[in-house]
Amino acid sequence: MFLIHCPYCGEDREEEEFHAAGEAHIARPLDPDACSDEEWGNYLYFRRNPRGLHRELWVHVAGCGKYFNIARDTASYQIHGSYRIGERFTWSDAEDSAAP
Amino acid sequence: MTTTARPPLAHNALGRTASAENAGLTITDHGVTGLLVLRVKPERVELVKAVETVLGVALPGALQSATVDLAVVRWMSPDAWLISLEMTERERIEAALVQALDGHGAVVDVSGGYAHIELSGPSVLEVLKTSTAYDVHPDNFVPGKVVGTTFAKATVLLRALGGGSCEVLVRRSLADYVLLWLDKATTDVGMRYVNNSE
Amino acid sequence: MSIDPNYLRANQGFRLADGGRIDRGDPLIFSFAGRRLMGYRGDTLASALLANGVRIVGRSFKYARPRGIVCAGVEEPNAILQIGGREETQTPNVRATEQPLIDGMVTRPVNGWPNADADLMSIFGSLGGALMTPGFYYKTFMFPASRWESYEWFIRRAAGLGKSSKLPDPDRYDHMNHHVDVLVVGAGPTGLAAALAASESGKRVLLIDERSEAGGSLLWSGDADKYAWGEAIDAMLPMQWVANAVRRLDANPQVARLTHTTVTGYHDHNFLTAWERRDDTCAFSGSDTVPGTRQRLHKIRAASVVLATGAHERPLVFANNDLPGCMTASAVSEYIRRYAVIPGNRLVVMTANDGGYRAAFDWKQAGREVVAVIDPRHDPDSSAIQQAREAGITVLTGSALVEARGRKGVTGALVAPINKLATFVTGDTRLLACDTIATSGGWSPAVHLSCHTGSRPVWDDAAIGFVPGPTTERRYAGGSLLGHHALAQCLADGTEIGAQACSVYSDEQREGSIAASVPQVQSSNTTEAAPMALFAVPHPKPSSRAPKQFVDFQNDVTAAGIEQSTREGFESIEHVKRYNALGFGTDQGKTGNVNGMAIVARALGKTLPEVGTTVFRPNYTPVTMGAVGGAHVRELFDPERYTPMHRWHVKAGAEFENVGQWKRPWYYPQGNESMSEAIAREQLATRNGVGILDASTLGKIDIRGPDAREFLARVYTNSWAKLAPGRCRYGLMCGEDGMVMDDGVTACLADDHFHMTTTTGGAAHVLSWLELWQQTEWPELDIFFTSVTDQWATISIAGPNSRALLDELTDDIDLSAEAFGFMDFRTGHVAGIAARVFRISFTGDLSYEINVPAHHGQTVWDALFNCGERYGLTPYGTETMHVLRAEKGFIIVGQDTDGSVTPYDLDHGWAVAGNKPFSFIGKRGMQRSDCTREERKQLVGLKCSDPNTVIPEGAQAVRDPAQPIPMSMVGHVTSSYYSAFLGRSIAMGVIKGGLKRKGEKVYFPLADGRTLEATLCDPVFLDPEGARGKV
Repeated sequence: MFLIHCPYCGEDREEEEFHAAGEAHIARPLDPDACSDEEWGNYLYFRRNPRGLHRELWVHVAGCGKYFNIARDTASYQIHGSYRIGERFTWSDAEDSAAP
Repeated sequence: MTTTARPPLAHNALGRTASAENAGLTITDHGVTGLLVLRVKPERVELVKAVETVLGVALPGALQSATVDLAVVRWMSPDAWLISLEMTERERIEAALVQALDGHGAVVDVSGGYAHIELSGPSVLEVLKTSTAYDVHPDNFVPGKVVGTTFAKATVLLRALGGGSCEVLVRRSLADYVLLWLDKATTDVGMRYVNNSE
Repeated sequence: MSIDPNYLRANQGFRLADGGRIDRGDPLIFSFAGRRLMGYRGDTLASALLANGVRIVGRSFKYARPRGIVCAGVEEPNAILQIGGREETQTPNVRATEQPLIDGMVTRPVNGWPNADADLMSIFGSLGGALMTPGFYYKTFMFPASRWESYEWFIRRAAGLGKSSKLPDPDRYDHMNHHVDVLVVGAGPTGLAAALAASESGKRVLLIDERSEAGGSLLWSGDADKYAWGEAIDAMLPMQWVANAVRRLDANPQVARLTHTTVTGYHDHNFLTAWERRDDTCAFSGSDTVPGTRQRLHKIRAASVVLATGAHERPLVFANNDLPGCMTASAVSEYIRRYAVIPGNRLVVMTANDGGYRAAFDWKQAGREVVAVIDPRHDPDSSAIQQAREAGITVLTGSALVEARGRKGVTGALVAPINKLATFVTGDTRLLACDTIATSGGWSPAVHLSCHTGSRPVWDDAAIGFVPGPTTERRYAGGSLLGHHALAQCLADGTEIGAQACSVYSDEQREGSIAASVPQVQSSNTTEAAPMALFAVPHPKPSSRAPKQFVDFQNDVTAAGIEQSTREGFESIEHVKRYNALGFGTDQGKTGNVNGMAIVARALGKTLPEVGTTVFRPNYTPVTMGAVGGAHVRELFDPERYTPMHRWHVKAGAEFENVGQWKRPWYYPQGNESMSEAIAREQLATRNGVGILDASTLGKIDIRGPDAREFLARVYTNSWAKLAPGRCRYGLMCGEDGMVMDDGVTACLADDHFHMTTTTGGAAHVLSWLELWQQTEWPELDIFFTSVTDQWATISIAGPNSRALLDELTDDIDLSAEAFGFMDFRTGHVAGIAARVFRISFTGDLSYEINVPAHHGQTVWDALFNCGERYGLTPYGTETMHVLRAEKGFIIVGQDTDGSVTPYDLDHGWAVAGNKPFSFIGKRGMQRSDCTREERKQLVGLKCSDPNTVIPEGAQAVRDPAQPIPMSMVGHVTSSYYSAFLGRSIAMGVIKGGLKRKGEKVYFPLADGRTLEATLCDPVFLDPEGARGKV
């Protein structure tokens, strides 16, 4: 059971108030019709699933209803930060080389 | 034609109702309350100002509520507030807010969509701790604070009131579930149900 | 049946005349295996059994050997009993050593067939014992596979680890959530000191202990003046200090304390679960008083966690070490000191450390004979050993107890000199007559909780045990958990980590402040000899030929078995563990795991750290399913959502269908009607007159903002640019993969204001979906969504009489076909209530959907019935709704679709606007090559050749029923009903290439041997030109 900081409510809340919504920062192609099947397939189905530092999209369903991102270590389960949609989050340089 | 509005907690006949002295928990059912959801982007300062003029109070920030004669305004989300007021005021205020928003934002009548109850009595804290994973300790859940959280398996809006009491707003369809939950949760301490809607 | 209490009191032959933390004025009568026995309040079930001379408490898992009580706490492997006063409260595998004695308690062994004292299985065990090697069950019961069912019966019957009742559990359980600054696990000296230090901060502290009272090992501590090995804390008797500490904690409003509560799980981000036994009285005694909450599961979120979980004493591994009468040394002390129970008359102690001498002192103090203390260390010197010799106790150093003798209990101990490394016997054995053997191989820190979040424990040579490894959690550990067994060290550890955990002191202040507040210990035990790392005691014979040397009592894992498995090639401790089932019992190997690893290390010529340890997972002890479920059971298992007219439906005798969490009327049987009769009646009444359906469960979303129209065009497949205010439109919603996700009708209330409806089950998901796109991809769109599902009661009236009926109740809505056409929407009043009325139809007939605020729903429903009789108004439920919509070929998302169906597969290309400027959600997805290939499964109607036969939903279609099995399946039936109105069965299904194959036949071979034949057809069975709805 994670303890997740909601950047909109400004509090740490129990995981049961949230739903995970997959990997963060998967942008919809601006011109889907120009995408090849492979490009579209990558957008639809392919995710990084790293061991270690990962950015995830969550939604505070039982709370404010807002989507936001967390930066989480998938090995230790430590959450290094929560940030709003449109914001950036960077780990230290060395760690961040693994991120997109 | 005259009609009677039906409060949400109409279905369950409670198993036990304790007397006032013996009840660890008193549930006060406010019946049908005038409720409006106000949606406006906080960065639209001029719109926020306009609705604040209508309400006579500044829109409260995260997890806060504001109480004025006219209404109680609860923060729900960075761009959403839940306003409770007398049913007789509902239409007038709704129209005024819609006008203030000038085609942006939204005002939605949800008076029929919620059960509005209040929990009071010596066992409130214990009942809340068995029902919600939110930190309801009085150090954290101070009077006026509003949180959207889970309550048993329902989702609710909780507001801390003075004297250890707590307001619960739950979607109408789940009101009976919440009432039944409270009924079971107070088996040891006794529960009293007060219908405050007449 | 009355039994003379004096007789029962006298029966406690092993109860000391005085002492103990028991209340002799409160005798409790209980039963064990049918025998009536007496104990006292303050006893555990185990101490009461020992007081009454009960030595055999069960039979072992594999060999059916008699087993007795070994320990006095949570680590007990043998004394797991079946307890329950009534059939419905039967609880298996309760540790007698932890269970407080309850008046009227009914207990029996969990195994033993027919009973523990005369176990038939022991014949198999003794004859077949040599054959029952590790992996015995894997090897023996492997082939033939067809016999597995009978093997399984035999194995389960023979193994017998208790039985659960099949009746509903009558007791109440609940959960409680806590948020604290510091959680202290363990209320022994370390935990108490930590809680005291943390409580100074004024922060929230929660102290939890599994025992029924605080004190930990101090509960059986001795008075420094009266006993050898006595101690005092701050010049108080240890338990006086405990009482004092507890008083101080309880007086602090920020401190909470739970006893008889086991912290069973340590999860991510300092989330811990604890299992509290609040009141097992009724369940275990069968009394019929009204019970309170029986057990509670606490869910604790802590900023800091202090682990002061202590350590478990390791019994030594020697031949026949499982004979009843073999116990750990600390258990012997605890029974004597805490419960005034002495487990026997003549004691032999075998200890590899000074701590084991305590058992000898306590035994002697109780006035019984200590035959000898056997110490494997050569020439150890310490105050304990000196005191033992001064007290006249025989101490044999450089020796080992190599074998216990006896049949149903210990009658003697075989002792021999050993070499300095304790690897072999160096001289002749001699037999010491005794009835109790107390052993101590040292202490295994209770690292279990520290491992739960993935932290691996590390071997500590000084502690001779595994201690907690590094963690990313804010977690502190101290005391015996770190191998610090001296009381003074435990108190110092506790004080320090308690202060650290709540950050009371700054770094500069810390040293002095903490030192000043550490409780001071006075002890008669001044010098200590180094303990020896001894696990398995050597025997004159190799372990494969010596009598069995047990490592894991609960699973009958022996030293010889472990050695054999290493010879068979199992070298990883994880494999050895699984092959032998080491640590697989309900005790999770608390006493046996380290001994087992040591034997693996010895066999492989490795060190213990090289062998490594296995990681412990939650839960630390078994937790009852009742506590796991809490109050979320029966009618509270899943929330039931009710519509505003729910009570009316109940009164009308409706049968209900679960749709998500909603309770929807399924059908309304009248009198003795069968379901199919009711459906037929409801259907005909609706088609010929007017029917009424409660559609309040439909998801409803209020959409408002200047960009609402643009947004709808992006999330729906069809066009929304030209939908005028006052009009409605059906929309299909797809995922990005192009598959149908939801559908519904959306009404345009104003240019910037829409009322969207979704499926009942899809409501929450659709709202999240809309929010997802708006919040993460298109935040520039000025638009807001608000769920109004609960705000509106939705009443659907359908049938040729619906207009006339509605006309009776409205003055301000012109219902004429010209003024209020199909797919129009109007506001006005119905029965005096402000309403939104949609002229839409899910039946194909003239139909209106009336939406009024939920609190007026019943009023309008009643008003419709008040004037409905002359129109034949008939309530219908979801089943009739399904038949009516299927006659028209209307789909239900989630029934006729399954996440792999595009709009084109449904032949709903008319609902896809490919020319919209924005590439709507799903557009690109449904153009992928796989979505456009021939022979996709497509929705078609299916007419069974026998019009009276309803093809089962889910039936698989084949083109050639004569082909050999396995047949090539070409699709399946998604919806299938009997239509009373059409006088025949109708069905829909998805069939490969179905749209081009209408008129062809498919076949449905059924499990019952029948093969049904059906013809592919258009799914619109009724009124294909749509005349009925447009009147």
